[in-house]
Amino acid sequence: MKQNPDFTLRQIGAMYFLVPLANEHFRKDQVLRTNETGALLWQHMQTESTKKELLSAIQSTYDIDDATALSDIDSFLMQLKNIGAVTGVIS
Amino acid sequence: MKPEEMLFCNLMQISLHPDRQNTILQESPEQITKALPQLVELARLHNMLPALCDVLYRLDVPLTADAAECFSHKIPAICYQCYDMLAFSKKVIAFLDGLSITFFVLKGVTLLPAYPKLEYRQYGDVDIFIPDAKEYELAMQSLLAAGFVPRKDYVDHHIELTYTIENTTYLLELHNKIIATQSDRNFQKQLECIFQNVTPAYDTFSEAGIRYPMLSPTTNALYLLLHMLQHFLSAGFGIKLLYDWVAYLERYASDISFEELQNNINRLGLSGFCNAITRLCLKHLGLSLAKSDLLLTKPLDDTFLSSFMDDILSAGEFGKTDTARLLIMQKGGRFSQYFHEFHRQMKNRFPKAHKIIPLWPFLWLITGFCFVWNNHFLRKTKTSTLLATTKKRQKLLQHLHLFQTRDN
Repeated sequence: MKQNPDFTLRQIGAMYFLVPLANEHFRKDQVLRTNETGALLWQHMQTESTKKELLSAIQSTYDIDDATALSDIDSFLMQLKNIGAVTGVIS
Repeated sequence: MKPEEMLFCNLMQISLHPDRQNTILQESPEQITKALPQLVELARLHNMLPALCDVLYRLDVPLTADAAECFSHKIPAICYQCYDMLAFSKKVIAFLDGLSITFFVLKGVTLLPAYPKLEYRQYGDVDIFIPDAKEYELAMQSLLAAGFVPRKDYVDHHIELTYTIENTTYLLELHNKIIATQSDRNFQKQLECIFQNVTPAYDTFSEAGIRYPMLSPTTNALYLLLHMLQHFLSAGFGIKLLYDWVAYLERYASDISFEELQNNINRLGLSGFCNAITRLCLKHLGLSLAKSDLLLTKPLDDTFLSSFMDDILSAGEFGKTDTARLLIMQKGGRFSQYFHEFHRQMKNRFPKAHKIIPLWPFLWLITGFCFVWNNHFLRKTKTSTLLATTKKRQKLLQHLHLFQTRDN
């Protein structure tokens, strides 16, 4: 699974937004508001990433157990898929 | 300036020049926290909330609950509006490109490459300038046919068109003149001369994949100054337009012919105004001297600069915060000059009817009625208060020597 190149990560303060800036028509439901953790995961998805690699990325920054981290990753990936920000399937 | 206003300007300076934060800022994060209510209010008035939020985050300033809540609600809304306006700009540019006419995008997306982040620059409409009358008419008719609807408000130099997509209404300002007509004839003549043969330069805002025609960097810098002038002579302008000036010069100074720019500024009698604006930006927003020294003329009295900055800080964006602000007389405050200005407003309001001299008494009456009506219902202020504020702002003009060239 990797990033859709139409989407850009924007940051203002502690708020992050994933936005399809190049789209012809703006729709608020295509923007994902996220946090530092989401931003970290997104940045690791610039190339094809596995869930294991994303887990490793989160755990190298935050003190978090596997189950919680994997749940957060799954939730985030679902949100990305819903807005079309990722392509492919996660392995 | 009040301490919180100075702090606000310093923080805006840091947003433009992050590398200078250690040299600019004297206050600790905790001291900044104490000033947060005033800082947030200033940022709100001047439409600079995203820049403030970002700088406070970078400086690790603890937020009060009120500030955090304000940012949490307002920043996303502002960001969505920025992205929305980008998409609308793209749509308008693509549409006009299809007409094969010469047009120029003013402000808006053309300033975004100069800004630290696109979200720092809110804009509520798209401004397009079409100098050729026939192409202007073609554009107008095509836009109307495509579903744009003209607003009925009277404006001298542009027509406002709205366009609705799924419950959201967007505003397009189609300019047939670069700025509103001013009373000084030589200024008008020179302005028309400068802008009659402009050719588009093309730039790209790569983050959004938008390519657009705009005025050349030199002419665009002149336009930014004219835009400030127009608002100064109306109800005033706020920090945002000074921020534009700094951002633009910092980014495009190497592409600007300062000789040509200064020549045009002198032709228009704006060297005093440009000098004052640039000195304010040097002093309060960290504009680099190397990128602006060719725009400076004589040093200015600190008291005047302070009054000018107070005027800008109290105005908010386009003078909206203080309803008792009005255009200031360009040639002094005697009754005859007030009447001259009133007569000019009548001519602008009735571009065709004013040519019939017997109608003047009726047109003056309508203009006067509209003026008092707008004061009472739109500005919600007394005409007497408005005129008193005008007189105060009038004093600023004396130092600016507006429209004075070597020849007059």
